[in-house]
Amino acid sequence: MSKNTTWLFKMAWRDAKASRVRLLLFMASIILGIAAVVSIQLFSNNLKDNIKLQSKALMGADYTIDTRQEPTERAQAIIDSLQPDAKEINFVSMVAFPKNGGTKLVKVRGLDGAFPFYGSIDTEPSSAADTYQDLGGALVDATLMLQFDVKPGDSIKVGAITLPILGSLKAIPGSTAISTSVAPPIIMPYALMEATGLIQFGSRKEYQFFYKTAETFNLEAFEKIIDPQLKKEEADLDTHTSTSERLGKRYDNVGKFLNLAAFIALLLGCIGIASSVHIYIKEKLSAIAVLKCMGASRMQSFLIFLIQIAGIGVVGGLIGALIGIGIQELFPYLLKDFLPFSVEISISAQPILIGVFLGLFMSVLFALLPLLRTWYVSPLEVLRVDEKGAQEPFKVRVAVIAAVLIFYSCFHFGY
Amino acid sequence: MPNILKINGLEKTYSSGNKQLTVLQNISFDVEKGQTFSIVGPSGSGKTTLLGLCAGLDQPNSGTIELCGQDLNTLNEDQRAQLRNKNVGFIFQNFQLLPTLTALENVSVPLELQGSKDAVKNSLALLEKVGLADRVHHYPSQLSGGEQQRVALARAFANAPSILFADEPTGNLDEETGEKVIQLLFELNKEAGTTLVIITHDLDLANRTQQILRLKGGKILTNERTTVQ
Ligand SMILES: Nc1ncnc2c1ncn2[C@@H]1O[C@H](COP(=O)(O)OP(=O)(O)OP(=O)(O)O)[C@@H](O)[C@H]1O
Ligand SMILES: [Mg+2]
Repeated sequence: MSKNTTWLFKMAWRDAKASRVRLLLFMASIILGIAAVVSIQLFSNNLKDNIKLQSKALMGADYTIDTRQEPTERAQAIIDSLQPDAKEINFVSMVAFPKNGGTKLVKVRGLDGAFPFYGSIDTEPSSAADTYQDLGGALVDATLMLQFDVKPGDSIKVGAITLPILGSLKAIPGSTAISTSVAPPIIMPYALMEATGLIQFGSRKEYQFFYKTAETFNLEAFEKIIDPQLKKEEADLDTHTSTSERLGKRYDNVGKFLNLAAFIALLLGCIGIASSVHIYIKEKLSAIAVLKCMGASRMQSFLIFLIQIAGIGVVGGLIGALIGIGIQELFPYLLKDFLPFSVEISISAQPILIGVFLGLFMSVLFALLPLLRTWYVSPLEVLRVDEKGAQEPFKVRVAVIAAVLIFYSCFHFGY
Repeated sequence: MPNILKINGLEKTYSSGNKQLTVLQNISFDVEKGQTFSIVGPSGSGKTTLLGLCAGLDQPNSGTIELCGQDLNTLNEDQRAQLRNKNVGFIFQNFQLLPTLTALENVSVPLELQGSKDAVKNSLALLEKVGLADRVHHYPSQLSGGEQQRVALARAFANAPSILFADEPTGNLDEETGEKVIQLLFELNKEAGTTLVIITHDLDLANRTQQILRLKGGKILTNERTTVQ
């Protein structure tokens, strides 16, 4: 650092020390704005991540293809080329419990593969979900089991075959309360479906194929291309994002509210920055005139205060970010009644960097106009106590305001 | 003796609205190097305006000012600031210390602006000379008016100026304190051999300088040497 630069920092520090009350006011504006933005941004990101995660868990896969009949040759070719990770045939049929002769209309789902890829089949005992395919047993809807007073270890007759019941089925991704009350689900291995003898004559069959993709896979683009081809073949492609859109309706309002709150907080912070710096610099004008009288250049006078503002911006940004991180931990408690699921909070160093950068950027940007006055202070003011400070030319003022607005909007929309 | 300040045909007008107010008119005079020089005149006669022009704080509408061999009209604002930093000291009626800096820091500023390595050492020596060795870490608000003006004196001499401008240096002080400050000013000035230009209402003070310029209504009334050597 040159001697001149060192001196500027020294002056900035000396002056700041003695002006700390004013500068704290300024810092408070930054802290308010940054804390709000960081906490809301963090929470919003967590919310989005959670929705994505949970929408996958709701479907159990990244996307599915289903048909109401046996897939056409063309459809099957597409399905196979995409290499399904799991598949299912289901139909609605009567089943019987040999133990007490009870019968019931159920949805029989024959599954093959490690479906679901996200979330899990919830059974009692819980090991049943992992073993039914290998052991050739069935999982039966828990309510149904209660109704007919059957227990794991009893058996169930599906068409031509009888299977042991391995566990009660409490929940499985992809089914809702309404659909299960009409026709409660039972799950069995895909391989045994043929043997039931019901597929040939079954009234309505549904074929489903489940797919898992990489995190980075562009599902929407993929859907646009593949779905129309499948539609022609009476097949249908569903992605977890379309499920999340249903969920998102609810999130949208929360998200909009949060964005608005962040915007208002930031705006208030920026107004706070601009006005507190305005007051601050106004009080410094006579000191600046003295400095210029002693031989300080316009650039030096400007830089002393720019350094102060930037320094406060960084410190305020840091404090704001830390407070913001603290606040977002509270959000799940504050908003738990509005959200259809719980939100897990994760912490990283990134928001601190964002806070510091944002604090620096916002404070310098919004202090620019008041800071500009330092440039136009005339050293003559040392002789004229009551003269009101020279204003920067109107053109300069307009140019700076325009620049600030352009920068701000670029930044805001880019962010 | 060569002239350190040469004023020629100076004119200054202020325009308020569409009215032109001529504050200084046809001002020409010289100040010799090392001289003590006073400017007197009734209130509103243009003394402060003239001082501002001489020190390059303001610019005339016409006429030339040569300060330390430099034509001020040819310099821009930053160049004039640099010239002041090298060659000019100031004392103001209202002291004009930087309120956020201690006495020592205030005195150091002109030296630091020059990039001097001995800023602190020289400033301490000067503060001792004005009798404030035990007040160096005080802020201006913790000092009396007389003490503040003594700090300002130390600051004015800090950059070893070749010319010092003082605008009513005792205007805000009681008679006794004012007299002490003036004595100190003359002492330091003699020691450093600085050219001194004082604006004052006080004719006794003016009579202690070697030359008196009388202004009235923006014009020079008289410009006479006194008997002071
Ligand atoms: N910025 C300005 N705009 C308009 N008129 C001004 C301005 N500055 C000074 N004047 C006028 O110029 C005239 C001279 O002012 P100046 O301050 O130089 O007088 P002065 O001799 O120093 O008076 P005093 O003894 O009261 O300090 C006054 O009439 C004043 O009103
Ligand atoms: Mg005056």
